[in-house]
Amino acid sequence: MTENLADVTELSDTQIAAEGTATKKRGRKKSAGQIWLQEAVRPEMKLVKRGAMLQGLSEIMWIPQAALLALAIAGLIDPHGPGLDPFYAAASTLFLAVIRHVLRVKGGEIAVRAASKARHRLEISLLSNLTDLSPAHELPASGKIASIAVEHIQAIGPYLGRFLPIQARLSLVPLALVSSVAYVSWFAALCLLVFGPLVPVFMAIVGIRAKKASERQLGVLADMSGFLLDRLRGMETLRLFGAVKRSEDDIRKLGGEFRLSTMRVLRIAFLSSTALELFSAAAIAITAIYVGFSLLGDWAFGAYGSPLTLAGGLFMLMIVPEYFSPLRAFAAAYHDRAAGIAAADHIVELQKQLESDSKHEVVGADIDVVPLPVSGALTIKNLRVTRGGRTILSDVSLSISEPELIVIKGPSGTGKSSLMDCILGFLPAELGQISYGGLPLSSYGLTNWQQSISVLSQNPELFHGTLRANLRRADKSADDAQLTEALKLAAVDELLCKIPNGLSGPIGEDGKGLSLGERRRFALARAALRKDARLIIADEPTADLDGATAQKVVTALKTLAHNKPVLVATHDPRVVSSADRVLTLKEGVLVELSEREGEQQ
Amino acid sequence: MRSSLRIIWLLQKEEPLAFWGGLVLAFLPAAAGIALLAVSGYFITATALAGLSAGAVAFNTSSAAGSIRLYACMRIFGRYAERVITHDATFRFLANLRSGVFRGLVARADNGTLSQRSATALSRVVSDVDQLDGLFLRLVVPLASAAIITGLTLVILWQYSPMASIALGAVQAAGLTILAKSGGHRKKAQARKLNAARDALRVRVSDLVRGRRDLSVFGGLEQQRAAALKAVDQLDEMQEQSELTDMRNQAVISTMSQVMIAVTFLFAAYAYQQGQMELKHIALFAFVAMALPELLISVANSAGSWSKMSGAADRVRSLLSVGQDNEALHNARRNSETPAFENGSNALLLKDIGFAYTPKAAPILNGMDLRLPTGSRTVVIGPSGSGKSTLAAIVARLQTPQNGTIQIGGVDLAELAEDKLRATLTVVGQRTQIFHSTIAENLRVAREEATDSELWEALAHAGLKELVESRNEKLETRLGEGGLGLSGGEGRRLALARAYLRDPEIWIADELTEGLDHATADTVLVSFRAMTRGKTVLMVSHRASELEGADRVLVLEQGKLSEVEMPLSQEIKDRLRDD
Repeated sequence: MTENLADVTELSDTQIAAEGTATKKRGRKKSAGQIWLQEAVRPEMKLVKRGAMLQGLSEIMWIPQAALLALAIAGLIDPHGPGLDPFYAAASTLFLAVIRHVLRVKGGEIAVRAASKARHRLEISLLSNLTDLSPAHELPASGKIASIAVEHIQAIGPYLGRFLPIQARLSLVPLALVSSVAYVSWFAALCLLVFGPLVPVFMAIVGIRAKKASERQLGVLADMSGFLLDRLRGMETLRLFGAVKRSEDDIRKLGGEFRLSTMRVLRIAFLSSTALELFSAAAIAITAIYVGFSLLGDWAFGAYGSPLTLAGGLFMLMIVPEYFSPLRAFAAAYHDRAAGIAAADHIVELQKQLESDSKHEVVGADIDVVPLPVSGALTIKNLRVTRGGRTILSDVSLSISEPELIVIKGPSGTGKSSLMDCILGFLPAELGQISYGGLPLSSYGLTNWQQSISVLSQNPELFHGTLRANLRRADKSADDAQLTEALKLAAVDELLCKIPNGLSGPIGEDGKGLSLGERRRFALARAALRKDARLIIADEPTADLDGATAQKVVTALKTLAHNKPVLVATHDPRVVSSADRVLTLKEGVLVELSEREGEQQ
Repeated sequence: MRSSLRIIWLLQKEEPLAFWGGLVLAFLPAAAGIALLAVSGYFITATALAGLSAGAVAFNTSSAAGSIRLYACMRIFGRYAERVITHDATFRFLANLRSGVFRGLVARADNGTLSQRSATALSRVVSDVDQLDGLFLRLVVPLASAAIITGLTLVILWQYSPMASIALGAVQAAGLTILAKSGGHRKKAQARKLNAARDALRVRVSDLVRGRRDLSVFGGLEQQRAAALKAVDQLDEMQEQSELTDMRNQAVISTMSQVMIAVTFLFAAYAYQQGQMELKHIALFAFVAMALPELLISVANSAGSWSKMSGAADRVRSLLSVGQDNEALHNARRNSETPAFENGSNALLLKDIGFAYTPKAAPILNGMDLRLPTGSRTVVIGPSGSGKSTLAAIVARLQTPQNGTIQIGGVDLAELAEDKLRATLTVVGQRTQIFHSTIAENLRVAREEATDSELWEALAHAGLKELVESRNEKLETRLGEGGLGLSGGEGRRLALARAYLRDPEIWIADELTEGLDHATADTVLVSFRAMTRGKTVLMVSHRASELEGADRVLVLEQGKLSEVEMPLSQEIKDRLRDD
């Protein structure tokens, strides 16, 4: 139903755009999406116009077809007037029909392919933007981005491939048809010239009224689908409280209210298509009556000198309905435009969010990359980080070189995660420097650096695929024995029994089927597999785990810390008590606690 | 296609007036459009003939001009009335369909066949319903009026020239066949592939967005991007194919209409030359042939969406029928006994319960027994993934075990009437579902007829009274997106307030304080204990603080429950979270 509603709210646009020449252009503000859309499809506009030309040509060829048929009919009736052999006329009409078909299909193909090309280009640019972006950049929910990539960019296709070609021939085809009518009778042509532009004018008036009405209804026009989705999400609660039946009734009742209020708007909006019918039916009726009385000899005006012939009359009657059909097609395709613009608004909004931050790979992209040493000291000096105008880390210094378990304490929101992001090169530092083995991180190439760290994030991401494929992301060469060993170390080897087919068994989208604890430990196994990691970073590894499970995670981290430095951000006392070194992050400054202080805490 | 027809039939039964009224009204303007052109053509030729026979008065101009005006008016006003009526009908259908789909999904959840409860799966169902808005408007109305009018026209024209009428019918039938085929199997396969390509891209992109942190570290960002690009290629290819098919179909229909005019004219001319037809009817035929394809064009414009609709109809129909079956099951249970709770009896009795999520997976519960005496407080602990939450879901009949029996207040759960079960037992837990409506409506989910003062009492017990009182709209404050956002603890309390309004005999608490910080968890527990005084309580937990005041503690391990001694040993305490 959204199409209709879109029609309602956008109707005034339609009609004004419909025949831009006919209506006085008013200073309407274009939405950001509209402006962006015009730019985005510019490379394909030429192709679209060419497609529209071919299709327009095909439509104009109705003129010779109509002329042939009119002459043939008139010839049968009045053997003395101008005429044509019926067989010849039918054959020529068929021949022209074939040409028209070819032109129309060719034009359509050009437009559809152009649309597909534009869509493809936009999708690729969105995907590259996403991959180039720093992972620390805050983005809308993944589902929202996915729906932009899938549905919204797709919506631009019909706008470009269907709507724009129709719009392009909207002025061309009717003008050609009117000229052909004018050749027979200036009076009939005048009628069409007056009626044609009146259609958009009336539609615009109706559209403005409908828009007002729909604005008044806005409160009631709550999104029905949203309501259903809300109830479905809360289904368990509704079942628990025996409120299922009631919700069904609610859904029905709300549907009824929705119907009433929407119909109130639509009753006005439908007047616009009535205007189209009115003028098209009136034009046919007037033409028929005018021609009829002229032929009877009662009326003698409108033609040039000689009286109107039957052939001329029939010809005009055949042209008149076609005169209005581009307008009809335009109205039918109009929701493609509304959908395209709505989609463009979403895309622009996302793009703004993508652009507001610096790009991820810029640092060190063109610098000669130095090979990363096998070991070295990670030194952070006077690091200062600001995000969105707020200083998160003001002056942080830290040096890590030995294999040990280092804990960074501090309540949530103090910047522990930001510090980790800086070490990973996800977040740029405003001041200060992070270096490894004496050289700044950027000299190794950011990607190389990132891939030399093992990370256990708070919400570890597992990917669609087998257990094996997920684990091998950390170490491509690892064999099954090594994978099993890593799972054991992370105390998550019971997964091998739980998931059918063990290592070859699948993990669903988003690690579905695994509990948070299992996911966390699985990610720990993955982190442990990266043998050449210079550093292991873990962000709140025990949050929301039960005691026994949390203990297993701590033990595993401790084991890993025998071989390489492990940096953990946490406020779990269990982890803190096993740490070799404890630091506290307070007001953007890192404070190292001495042994004694640590114990006091 | 069959599913679409079933759904249409259902709609017809539910809203006969709107359905048939809409169809009749759709028929009138379409017929008037054809009649307008036909009569106009007839009128012109007749006047020409009259003009030729030098002013003969045989032809009645005013009646022909009158019918032209009549048909024009019918066309104009009929179209308006039709659009209003058919849209009104569509909204009625959608309201019915939505509630039917809701019932079906609940039924699926009831009998455990709701495979996916992710937000994406649910929103797919919702968009299926939206998809079906065209079922009446774009399938039934244009097809029915095209068929009826073609038939009628042919019958009328038969009297003038059978041969020309047959030619007209044949071309029109060919057009309809082409359209039906385009909405048929090939198109359906295409639509299925298109959907698959869409889903693939959706998964790839959300993996890319959610996983970019881990992908950057563990490599594979490029791989994931390449996979997404491949999905884009596939999707665009499929989309282009489908758009090309639609475009070609429409072109074919438009060409058909020209063929129809030429062929009909030829046959009419032949019939005239054979002396079988009057002269003035030739134009009649020609203009009917010109107007008739208009019906097909309106059908063709929507043909592209048929296959989408038919896929949606398949899914929606299966939901509708599941919903009806479930209704029958509930009706069969309606007259069950009422659970009784006396001191010393068992409020809840589980025997030999076996449960696995899928037939292949290892069972989560295996031969589990549990007995809750009326008025007792029991806590079940166990490592994560041991099936504690499954236990809670089974007792509440949110999941059905494969083996074993459950009795609530002496009545077999499998036979217990839904309303009696829900009045007796409720679950509060980690999954707090808050609806996008007012606080009052959120609370009245539990008891529709609750008065405002009862709502306030429940809020007070849950410790939410101050928060709600501080809002200007009080009980009418909207929650959820765009409204008041509740913190985790507040949401949990709202769920408690809901349960309090129900006042059940048995309370199941499923990880009541999961994900809450220490202080918040304590206040939630205080509210919970106050509300459940004297009731039968089963808590499922891994937090030490939830064990306070328990009569018994049970450990769930390897699918079975075993009682642990009180006071708790250090070993058990170590397994719990102590914050």
